[in-house]
Amino acid sequence: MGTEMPPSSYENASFAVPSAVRRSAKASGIEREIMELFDEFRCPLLRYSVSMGLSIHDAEEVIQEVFLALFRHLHLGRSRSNLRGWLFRVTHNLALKERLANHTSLERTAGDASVAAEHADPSPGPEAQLSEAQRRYRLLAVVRALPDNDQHCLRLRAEGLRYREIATVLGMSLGAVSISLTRSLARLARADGR
Amino acid sequence: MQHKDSEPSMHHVQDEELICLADGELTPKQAAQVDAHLEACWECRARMEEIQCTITGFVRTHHAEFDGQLPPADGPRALLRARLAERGSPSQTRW
Repeated sequence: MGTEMPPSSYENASFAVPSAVRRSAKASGIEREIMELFDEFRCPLLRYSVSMGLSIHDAEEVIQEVFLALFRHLHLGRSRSNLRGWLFRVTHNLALKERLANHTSLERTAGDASVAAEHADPSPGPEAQLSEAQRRYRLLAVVRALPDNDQHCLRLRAEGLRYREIATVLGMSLGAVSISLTRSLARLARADGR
Repeated sequence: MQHKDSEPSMHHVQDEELICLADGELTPKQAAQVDAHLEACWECRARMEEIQCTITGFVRTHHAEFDGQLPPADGPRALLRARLAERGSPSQTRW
């Protein structure tokens, strides 16, 4: 038929796709990837943001901003290496900014007693539960008395970050991360009666 | 740390090295040296167990402190999806 495309037109068919459609397909691939990362990292990032002194509401908003920034980052074709480290670094910086804007600090007072009792393993007897709750209360008091950077190091390590990632998030050297963790664990051990 | 290839040092291991070993942050050579010492030294092994126990206590405390406060993900997830869809539409992708 006269309307059939010649072979050379088939070869160039991809170039005929409107650029807006290609952009949209790219965006939707990135969107899927971001939703997967959101499912994996929302809770760790929320815990970290709240540990920095943000309310849950503010922390949720920070996490939204982080993933929107990730969308821009990936859409611009920037580095995909260590996206976990990237997420925690941007969260840390946005949470600090939010904290400054709200004039809040790491100090918290509410809910400590209930926190110690929450999530206690229901299987042990009441005495064991009480003992575990008291232990958490003691450890919590020590953690909250640590300097900000030591707290951040501990929290980030508890969320699974390696020393190199922690160093990048907090702008410290690897050695400083190691020393910070050693110092904090020694204090926790003393409070734990070890 | 080793005097000879087969003989572990009797110098005790510092806490920082034990923590780095537990965290997988030593080089393979350093880790082998500390492991060899731990095999031979009850005192350092006992300290290693104490460190592990402190880490376990902290991780549980960290989760207990926050996990009960975290709201379900459905709402924030839907909000993010909507915001991404808005930014991903062709008219919004001019960065």
